[in-house]
Order: sequence, then C-alpha cells, then structure tokens
Amino acid sequence: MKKSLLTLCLAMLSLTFVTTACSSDDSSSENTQQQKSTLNISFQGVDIESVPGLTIEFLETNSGAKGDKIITAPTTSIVLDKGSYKISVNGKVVLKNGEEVEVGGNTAVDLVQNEQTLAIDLIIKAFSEDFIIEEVFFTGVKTVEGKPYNNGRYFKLTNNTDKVLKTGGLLICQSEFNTTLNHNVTPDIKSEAFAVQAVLMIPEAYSKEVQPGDFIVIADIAQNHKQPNIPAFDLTGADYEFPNLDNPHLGQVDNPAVPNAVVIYTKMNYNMFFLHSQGAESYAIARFPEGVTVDNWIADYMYEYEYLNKAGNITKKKTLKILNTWILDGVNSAITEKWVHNTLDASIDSGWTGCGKIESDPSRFGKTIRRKVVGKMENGKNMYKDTNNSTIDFIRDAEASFKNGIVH
Amino acid sequence: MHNMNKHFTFMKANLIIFFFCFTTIVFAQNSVEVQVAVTDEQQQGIAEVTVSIKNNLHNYIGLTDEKGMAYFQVVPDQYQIQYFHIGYQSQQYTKDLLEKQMIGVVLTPLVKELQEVIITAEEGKGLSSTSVINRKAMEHLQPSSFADLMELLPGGLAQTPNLTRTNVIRIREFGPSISGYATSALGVQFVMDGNVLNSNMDMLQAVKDNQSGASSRSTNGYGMDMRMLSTNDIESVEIIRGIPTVSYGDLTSGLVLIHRKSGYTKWQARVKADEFSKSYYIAKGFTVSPTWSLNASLDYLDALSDPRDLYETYRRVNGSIRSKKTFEWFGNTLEWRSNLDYSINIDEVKVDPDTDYLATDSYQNRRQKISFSNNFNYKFQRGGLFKQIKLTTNVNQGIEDIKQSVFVQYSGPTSVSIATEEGVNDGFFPDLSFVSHTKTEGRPLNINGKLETVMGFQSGILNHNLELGIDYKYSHNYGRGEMYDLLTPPSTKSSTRPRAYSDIPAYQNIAFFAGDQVSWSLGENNFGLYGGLRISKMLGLNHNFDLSKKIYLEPRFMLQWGLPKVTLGEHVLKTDVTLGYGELYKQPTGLMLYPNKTYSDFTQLNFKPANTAYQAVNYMTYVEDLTNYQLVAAKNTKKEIRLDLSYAKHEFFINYFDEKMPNGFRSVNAYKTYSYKRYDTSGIDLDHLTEKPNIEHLPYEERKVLQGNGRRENGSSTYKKGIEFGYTSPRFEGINTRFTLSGAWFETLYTNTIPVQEKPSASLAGQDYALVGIYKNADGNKINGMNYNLVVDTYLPALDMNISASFQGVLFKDDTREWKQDQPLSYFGVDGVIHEFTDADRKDAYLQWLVRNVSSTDNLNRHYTFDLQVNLKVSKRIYKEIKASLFVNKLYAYMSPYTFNKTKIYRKNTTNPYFGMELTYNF
Repeated sequence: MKKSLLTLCLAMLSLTFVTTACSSDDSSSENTQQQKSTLNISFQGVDIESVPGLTIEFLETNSGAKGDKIITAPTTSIVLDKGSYKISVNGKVVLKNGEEVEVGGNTAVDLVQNEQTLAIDLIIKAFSEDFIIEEVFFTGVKTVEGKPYNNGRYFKLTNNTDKVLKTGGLLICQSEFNTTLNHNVTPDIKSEAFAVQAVLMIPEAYSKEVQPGDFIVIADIAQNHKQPNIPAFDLTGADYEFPNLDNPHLGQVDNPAVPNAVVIYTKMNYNMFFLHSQGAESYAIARFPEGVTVDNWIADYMYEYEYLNKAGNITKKKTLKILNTWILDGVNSAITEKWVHNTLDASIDSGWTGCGKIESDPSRFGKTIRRKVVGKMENGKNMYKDTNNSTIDFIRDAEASFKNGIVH
Repeated sequence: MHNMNKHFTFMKANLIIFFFCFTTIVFAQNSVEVQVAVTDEQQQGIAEVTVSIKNNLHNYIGLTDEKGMAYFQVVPDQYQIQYFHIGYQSQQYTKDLLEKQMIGVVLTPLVKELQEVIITAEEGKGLSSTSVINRKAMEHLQPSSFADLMELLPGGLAQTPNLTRTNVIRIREFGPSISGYATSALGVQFVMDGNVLNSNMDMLQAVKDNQSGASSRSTNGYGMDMRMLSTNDIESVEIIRGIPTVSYGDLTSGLVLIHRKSGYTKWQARVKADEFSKSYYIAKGFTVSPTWSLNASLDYLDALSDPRDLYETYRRVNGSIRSKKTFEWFGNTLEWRSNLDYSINIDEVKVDPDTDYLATDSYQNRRQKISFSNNFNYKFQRGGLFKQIKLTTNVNQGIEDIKQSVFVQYSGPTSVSIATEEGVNDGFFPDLSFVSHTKTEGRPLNINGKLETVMGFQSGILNHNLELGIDYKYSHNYGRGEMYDLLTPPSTKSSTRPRAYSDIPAYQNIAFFAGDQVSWSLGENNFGLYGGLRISKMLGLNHNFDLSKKIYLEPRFMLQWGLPKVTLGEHVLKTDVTLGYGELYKQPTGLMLYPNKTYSDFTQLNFKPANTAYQAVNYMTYVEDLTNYQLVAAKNTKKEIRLDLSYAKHEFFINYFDEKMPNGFRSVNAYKTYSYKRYDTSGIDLDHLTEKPNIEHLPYEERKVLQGNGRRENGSSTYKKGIEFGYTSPRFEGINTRFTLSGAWFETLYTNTIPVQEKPSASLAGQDYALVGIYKNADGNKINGMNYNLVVDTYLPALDMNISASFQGVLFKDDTREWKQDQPLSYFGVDGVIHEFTDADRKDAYLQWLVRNVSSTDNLNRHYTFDLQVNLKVSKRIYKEIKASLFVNKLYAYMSPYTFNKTKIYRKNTTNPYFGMELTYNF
C-alpha cells in the first residue's frame, strides 16, 4: 500500500518535472530527444523507511545552470540536459528504526547517455555538541624568493551544531608526539588521554557567541600577511591571535584589535607555540570539565614516559595530558609517505589527513587540511562531515579558505 | 765549458724570478781547467752538488752533472773549495789551483740508508715524549693538510679529511663528545721555524653565526686550524706530547715544532688529487753562495665539501721565501734566517641557484696573513761558556674578513630595537624582505720576540747545558670588527650590536725562563736531568682583572736514566727510563677576556593596528657586560714515565702519562632577573585613534623574567691519563718488510667544576617557568679506549716501489656519562633567593619541573667493541725523478656489533673509502 503510494507520488513528481522541462523547450522540438537525459536517482548508505522531504540541487558546471527538486520518495527520476553535474542532497529521512534524521550527500556525474542511474551516498548529519576543527593551516607559504614564510597560520573552528556556542574556555591542543615517528612509549595512554606539547586557551574574558554554521579563526599573528612577494593571507579579521611578545629575540607584533589567546602550557620557554610546518602532528580542541582549572590541570595531569631507541638508549620525558573525554574534536595529520601512527585515539579520529606527499614536500606550502561539506544547515550555512575519521572527513592538500581574507 | 755556462744561465734565470739577483763574471783568459769529481762511498757520482771555488778576488760556482762531474776555468791562485749537497755532509778545504787538474772528493751521506727510511712517526729518544715525523713519512702518507699527520701519533687513526670546516688538534685524547672542552686544543702551540703561529687575538666571528657555513669555520677558542697548514714545505715535525722545555710557554697540552726545508733543493713539484681536493705545489732551494741559501715555494689547494657540491668551497694558497745566511763574526758563526710568508684561506658558501630561487645568500671567510720573521743564532766556538745566543723575532699581520649576504625575510610582521645603550627605547617595524650585508673585519697583529742563550760548562762529573731567556708576545687586533646596518639586521635573534675589535686592549705577555740540562755518567749508567722554571705575566691588563696581579711559575723537571747495556746473544739491549713532571699554563685569549656585550630587548609595548600612522613599539633594552674579571690561565700538570728499549734495530717504547687540567675554559650560563613593564593597550579606543599610544599614559604590569647569559669561566676539568706505545721492527731481509705497531690507551674524564644553572624548558599557565635550578653536573663523561695501528711496509728495490698497508682501529671504547643527577642542589626565582631542593619538592606541582629527565640508560656505560679498517698506500718511481703514489683508505672496514642495555647493536660502516693519488717531480 505504502509502496504504491510512493510510486504514485514519484510518478506525479516526475510528470510535473518533465512538464516543466518540456514547457521551457517548446520552441525546439526536433533535438529534444538527443539533448535530454533521464537520470534515475536512488540513495544508499542509510536504511530509509520514508522520506518526509529531501532537496536535490543540481549544478551544471560548464554553464553554471542550477536547478533543484524536492522529493518525498526514496527514488526519483529526473530529465536533465546532458552535461557535467554536481549534485547535492539535503533534507530529512525516517530510518527503518523509526528515527527521523537530517541527511546530506554530495556527488558528481557526467550525463552523456539518454538514460543513466545514480546512487547517492547519504550521510546522517550528526550534530556534535560543540565546535569542530574545520581547517588547520600549518604549512605557511613560500615567498616569491623561495623562502618559507612561517607566520600567518591559523586554526579555523566551526559551530557545526544547531545551537549558539561560546568560545570562552576553548582549548586548542597540539600533540606531544609526531605522527611520522613512533617511539612506542611506555606507558601508552592514548586510549584515555592525549599527550600534548602545547595548549592554547581562549580566555573567558574574551568569550564570544558563535551562531550555528559560523566559525572563528585563531591566528598566530592577526595581521595582513599578504605582500607583493609573499602570497600569504590577510588575517586581520581573525577572532583571536597568539603572537609571542615574551621572547626578547622573536620580535613578533600585536594587533590591538584582536584579543589574544593564552598559551596555558608549552614545553618551550617564553610561552612559545609553533605549529609543525609539515603538519606531522595531531590537533584537538577541548574544554576543561567542571572543577578543572588551568592550575590544577597543570598540577594533576603530568604524563611521564620513556622509550627505547635502536641504540639501546632510554629517553625519559615529561609533559601534560588532556583526557580524551574532554576532547570535542580532533584530527591526525601526516605526510603521506611518512605516516607511522595516529597520536589521537581512534574514538576521536580513526583516520588521518595532512599536506604533502613526501618529506619537506615543496608543494605543501599554502595548502591546508579542510573538512568536507556534507550539506547545508537550515540557515544556509555549510554543514560539515564529522564521522570521526579524518581520512574521509577531510580533504588533503586543500586550498586555504582565506585566500581572499576572512569572510564569514 | 758549455756545460758550465748552461748551469750559470740556468741559475741566473731562476734567481731573477725572485728578489735577488746574482751574477758571476767568468774570465776565460789565462785560466786553467779544473775538473771536480764528487762521489759517494760506493764510488757512484753524486749529481747536483754545489761546488764553490773562491778567494778574495775570484768566485766560481757550479753544479755537478749526473756523473758527479763539474768543470771550471779558474785564474791560477789559491782557493777555498766547498762542496754542498742537501743529502751529504759538506766539505771545505783550501787548495792551490795553479795548473790543469782533476780533484776527487768523497762525500758522506747525511740521510739514513733507504732501507732505514721510516714512513711512520718515530718516537724521540729525548727527555720529553715526542713524535718525530720526517719528510719520507709525509711523502708516503700523502697529506692534504697538517691535520692528516695526526694519524701518525700513538692512538691516531686515518681520518677522511674535511677541509671545509675547522680542523682542531687533539693530543692524548680521543676527543670529547660534548662541548666545553676545547682548552686541550687551544693549549697546543704551533711553532714554525722558531716562530709561534698561534694568535691570541684571533677574534673573527661571523655576525650571523647560524648561517650555513659560519659556525663550523670558527677558530675562536680552538687555537690553530690545521687545514690552513700545508705540509709540502715541511722537512720534519716534532710533536711534543709530553713536557716541553721552559723555552716554550702559553700552552698546556702539547707543542708542535715544524721545521721547513732550508738550503739547496732541486725544483720540486707535487700534484695531488683526491675525492675532495686538488693541490699543487712547486718549490726550489737555491744556493746563492756557499753561505747563503734561498728557498721559495708556492702551494695551492682547492677543496670541496662534497665532490657533487660546487657551492661550498675552501681554497688555500701559501707562498714563502726563506733565506738562510751565515756570517763569520768575531771567529764565531752567526746564522741569520729570514722568512717571508704569505697565506690566504678562503671559505665560501653560496646558495645553489639550481635548487634555490635566491642567489643573494653567501658566506665568504677570507683570511690572509703576512708573516715576516728574522731569527739570529750566534754560535760560539766549542770550549767556551756560551754555546749560542738566539734571537727570534716575528711580526705577522692578519687580514681577515668575513662577508655575509643574507636575504632576510621575516616570517611575519616584525619589530626590532636599535638601541645601543641600556634603557627604554622605541623600536621600529622593518620591512619584511631585504638583503642584509654584514662584514667582520679582523686585523690581528702579532709581534713575538724571544732572546735566549745556551751555555755549557762542567762541574765535577756533571755536564751542564743551561738555557736562559726572555720571551715576549704582543697581539692587537686593529680590525673594525663586526659591522652591519642596524636598520637591516641579519637576524632579529641577534643579541649583539656591532663593535670594533680595535677598541679591545692589546694582549701582552712576558716570560723569563731558565733551564738546566745536566748529564753525567756513573759507571755504565748514564743520567740526564732537566730542571727549568718559566715565570710569566700578562701585561697591560686593566687592574680589575685578577690576571693583572698574577705571576705564573711553571716548573718542569725531567730525568732520564740510561741503564747499563746488556748483551743478549749477538746484540746489545739498551734500556732508558725517563720521568717527567711539568706545570703549564695557557692564558685566556683576547675574546675570552673581552667578550662582546649581550643585548636583551624586552617588549614593553607592541601596538600594530592596520593604520601605520599609529603603530608603536617600545623596548626595555638591557646591556650585559659579560667580562669575567676573575678569569685566570688554564693550568695543566703533566706527569709521565717512559721506558725505551732498543735491541738489534727493534725499537720499543711505552709511556704512561697523567695530565690534570682542572680549570679549562668554558662558557657558563648564569641567570639574572630582568624587569620591564608590559603596557596594556586594551583600553585604547581603536576607532578614534588620533595619535600613537604614549607609554606615560598607559596602565602597565610590572614583569620580572630570568634570563641566562654565557660567561667565560675556568669551569672545565679535563683529566687525561693513558699509555702510549710503539714498536718498530728492523726491515727484515728477504721480504724487505718492516712492521710498526703503535697505539694508545687513553682515559679522559671531562667534568664541569662549577655547578650549572638550568631553567626547565616550559611555560605554565601563561607564564614562562620562573625558577632556575642549580645542578651539580652538566653533561660530563669519561671516555676510555684503546686504538691500534699496525703498519706493514715493504720496499721492493727492483721496482723502486714502496707498498704499505695499515690495519688500524679501535680495540675497545667505553663512553660513560658522569653520573647525572636529576634533581637540583638548589634553586632560585626572580627574587634571587637560593632555596635548597628537598626530596619533598619532587612532588610539588611547580617544583617538579626542576627535576631533569634522566633515564636509566643515561648513566649507563656504552662499551664499543673493536673495529678495523685497512688502508693501502703505494708509491713508485715511474721515470727518473717522477714518482707516482696512490692511496686508498678504508679499503676494508669492519665494525663489530656491541651490546648496550641488552640491545645488540650492529654498526653499519657508513663512511666510504677515501682515495687519491699524487705525482711528485724533482727536476
């Protein structure tokens, strides 16, 4: 009964669509058959019981022609002009278990035959509770003269929830270990905590509210780094910065318009916090739970470890740790050919992403790691893929999002 | 006649090339023919013997031909006839040449027979333990620089030369694996033909010393850079590992006496090529007159760091003219040696334009030195009290320049301070990209003079040989020092400012010395006893220096006992026992006494909004004078005992030494509290800016930070002991082969004597860690090991070929870290109050960071097992005076695995064979 109803709906929808298409093509009657293609769309990846409403958007990449269609059935058939299409799906479905969820999906297809079928992967849009790491720009750029320019790097954190979030107390953590070198340390605490070499904190005093889908930028130096000979980015619009004024030999500068994040812990002197320019490390964002302050975290969460090298030497070190339960989101990054292990537990990130294929890859400059977009939120902002597997959630060697400055 | 003229023309042409011109007029009229035949003891004619026939009116000179014949046309008269040859004893007599005649003369060779030629270092038989390296050994070794000769010392091993970095000498140690122990190298003095080569005012350092190439080429605090010394001109080298006589001072560890060729030689040419370098050499010794000889030489070396890298190079040119003239003066002989030397050493590093976009970055280190020395030796006739009076003088001027071009590109907007005085100052925001040119100019002038006399007399059975003298050393650097434009600094990290070396006072040291060598015999026992004292003082020092009030006394004693000879079978066993004790001091160098000031620029205000009109930066600059007025000379006390055995041309020695240097130089970090203000700009209304923020109206936070600066201290202890040994067999007949085994066991303990201050590397809760721990020890260690070197050399007379193979390596080596304690003895914070560190503090949340990370293996001994490398050298006379040689080092190499912390470690031999060849030509 249900099935026949769906089929009926679908048939009616198709009919309307075809009619619309025909009506616009009234004048050219002869070539219609050759120029049009019928695309039969189905969905996979989720067990769909029913479809309360899904929006399918089409973009013909050559002509820029756009179209959309709202469907209420798990399959559909659409007649389109032949061409190269980017197709995205957003909306709600009811799962076999009765739960109604938001889903999204993306794909691309070349329509060349008169009739084609396409199965679009749908992903359940799981709203996280807090910020996610949308982008980390750690590579810096290479100047026209061929020198690396190491500043102008940033973290971009996005509110991927449907609630307004506060930035105060947010922690940005840098892993103690490199992903390109595994010492097999003892004790190994990865399953319960993240060993960190430096942690940045956004002070409560400078807390701001972030709307769903919006983002914040934490730059090392919130200045315009773009110069005729330096293809870096204008980061004056960053929300927070962490320039180092304490080291008498660094000579970094402070933008008074941008509040400073605080380096609450670093294994270096003078509060220095530097990103690995090849990104052979992991990053996580976290918040201290109720009752944990900066001071008692430093006092109570020491991590001492040692490891044996091939020459028989044991190295002993100490640093601090962030419990996995405090972590909101994390990402492992590595050079493709040099990856050895993930420094974040698989429950936080079961995959890894990064920039550059080979060690010191000169092509890595100016590139970032960026999260994939799965669809749109109700307010039209991007919805990002978050399956806790950065291999599929992130785009390697992606184009930096602030090439033309920070635009919200 | 024709032959004779040819010789004259030949000589003359050559002499004109140089500064002196010598002409002889030959009168053919009324002359008689004189034939001279010079032969050796085997009646073989000797070529190239200088024959001089002269009296007050006439002077004839000629060379013998290949048959040993020389022909003259002389005016009949009475003449003095002299014969000279470098390899033979000279002869001189008076003879009437009134008619045509033939004169025959037999010369006795000076050098040992070829079979006796030693191609390894010989151990001196004297009072002090000395390695003697002669010309033959150097020819066989085929060195590129003096550094290669170190293989020949007991415990030395062949090293692949690295001519693009400083080559530092190490005597009686395998070398520390840690920094801070360079005094052993600094305390080796090099003396060439009686003149000291070391300079105490070598201050050359690059402005940006972390630029590629800059740091590995510094000689500050290391003494001589051995790669700058060519070996081609050297006749012999004495390396005194033991105790030198009191005539030599301002040294702690050793003395290298270099003797260059002097007197007649043929034209000598050498071309050497190996993987890293090419070198060319040409030299000639002329006899201007029987009492006057001139030597001239030119030497060029062109080296690369890697045969594939054309952009990192080292070039060396040495030129020298040496004159030796003897006069008869009041019946005694005065020998006047005058040397004029020029050298240039150029290190260049350039960015490879193929791999880097930018070609502006470069580093050039050009060191030129002009040295002029005049040494007089007045030798008295035998029998008198005075034996000789020597005056040694040397003036040398260095022209040293480092030029750096650095394309500076700040990695982000930057601010710098340009203050040259302590205090609050406004900095500026430099451009992000510019080329910074820096220059370091050193003009060290060294003047050394030494006047000494040797007296000989007898008292009872004692034969005295007394030396007395005065030694003066002066050094001043007239260079403009480190120069750069403060507005385009090569780095923001620089903590120095330009300074002129010429502002630094001159270095002056005066010493008096007296030593007596007494020898006597008791029955069949022979004794030699040396006792000497050297008194030295630094002059012209500011009296704030402790050193200005100090007078240094250096007593040195040596005793040698020649035991009665014992006849065993056909041969005689000769035994000598030698004991020695000596105290030696090395004064700190100019740069150690007068270090550059250190500048620390603390940011007080940094305000860089988008509008450039309102940007402001303010600093509190501290200038730290790091002069250590308590710095004193490093002292080394040497003790040694040596046994020499000699039996039927089997030579053996074994030597035990003990050297303690408790106060070597090192840079010790000392932390001090600096305070500055951090102005708060958060209250400024950015939307309505009308002027730059004024620090007088801004709220601020008072900050105190601990910062360390390195100060030169007498804080390194080096305690060396060991056994050196060597055995040389005779050349066994039949196989024409000699075996030489040498080696050494060295145990060296390197420790710091001043507790070290360390600040843990961490920042907690937004604050730099604010405590400094005082720890008993830094990274001291003990290196204990034994090296061996067995050389088998065969001479094949039929082929006129010499083949040698050396089997050398490390027998064992133990590297033990001095027990490193993890916790500090005490600590202090910004208030400077020192607190004791207790065991309970280990658990304190903040104080626990003072506990250093010391693992269970950090204090564990690493025991390396043996390794072996085989080197092969062949030299052969290929045609008349042309000799070809080739060598392959590390032809075979093996490193046995060892076990450390239950882990078996297989060592890969990562070094490649090193090979090369050379041609020498005497014509």
